[in-house]
Amino acid sequence: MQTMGPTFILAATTIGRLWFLIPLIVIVSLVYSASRYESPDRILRRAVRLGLQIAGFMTVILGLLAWLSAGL
Amino acid sequence: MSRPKVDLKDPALAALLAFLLPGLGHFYQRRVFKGLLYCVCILGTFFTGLSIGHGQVVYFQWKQPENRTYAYLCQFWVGLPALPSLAQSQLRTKEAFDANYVSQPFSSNHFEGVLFDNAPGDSNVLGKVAGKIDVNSSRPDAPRHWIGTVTGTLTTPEGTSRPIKGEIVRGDRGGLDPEVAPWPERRISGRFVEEGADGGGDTVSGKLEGALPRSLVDSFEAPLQDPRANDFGGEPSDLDRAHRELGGRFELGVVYTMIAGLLNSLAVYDAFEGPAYEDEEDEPETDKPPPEPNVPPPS
Repeated sequence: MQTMGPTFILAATTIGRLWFLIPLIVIVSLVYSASRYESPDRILRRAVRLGLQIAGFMTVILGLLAWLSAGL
Repeated sequence: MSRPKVDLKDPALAALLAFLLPGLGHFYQRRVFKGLLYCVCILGTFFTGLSIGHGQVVYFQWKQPENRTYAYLCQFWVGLPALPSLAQSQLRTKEAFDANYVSQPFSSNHFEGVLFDNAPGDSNVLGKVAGKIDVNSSRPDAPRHWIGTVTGTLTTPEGTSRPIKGEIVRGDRGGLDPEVAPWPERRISGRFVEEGADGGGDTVSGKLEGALPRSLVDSFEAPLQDPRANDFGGEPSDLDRAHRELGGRFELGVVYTMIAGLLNSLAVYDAFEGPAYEDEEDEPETDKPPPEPNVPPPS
């Protein structure tokens, strides 16, 4: 348990910082989609889709990095 | 890509306006929804990043090759909100960034500090001092030798208060922060002697550590000096101090403000050229299912 303490604190800190990622995903999706399309309806629809794609991609990368660093 | 059917009016002017303030170029083109979206998203991201980084993450520093702020190349594209960085670094004199340099007298009515006795260490607190401070150079030809006059109230740890007036000089361990820096307070510390201390009586002397407010003009997007021979409390540089105080928030603030700048470059291009796709024209990969093939009815 002595080695779990710092690891747990590090993981909690990292997860806390991940919350800062969510507004960035939303904003990047909205602005990028707005630069591609003109209609508000289409901008919002494409932004949702792009946001989900970014979130999914980041989740995969996070899972991969967590798996690679699991034994460290 | 075909030309969009959006009325871009004067595209160059719209692009300039979009650069100066995110969304302004689109308002000029009467594209209100996009103007609002760009304005809220980009300015919101920029000022959120600035707030996360306590105002210390957007500045321009290019004179020291080992310490160039490449992040500013992205932050610059936010436009007006990022331009004060250029003014702070280009229009200020070199002495404005020097600690212990008093080019002209200054004063503040909002000085607050803590008075310690002359014993080694800072454990013996004599009280808190609040009031007015006037700082001047002690000799006209030596602006780094300053002297301050403090007039205010001394509140002891027991809770008793009394008026106090005395002088603070730099001494061996004291110091005065530079005129221009990204922190909202300007620290000052030195040896304090109350008036009438030579004559005995109920007077105090010791080390006074305090701060006075720094104006927005002297702190907004002011550059962090690094490396610098900073003799204030043994701190090697402003950048080290910012990292120590903010931790990971420094990088987060830098990332937010950089992304805001990069996003506004998309908005500027959109104001100049219009959207990449027309609404009638579907994007290359479409949401619609492929049309069903024409199968002849069985005979």
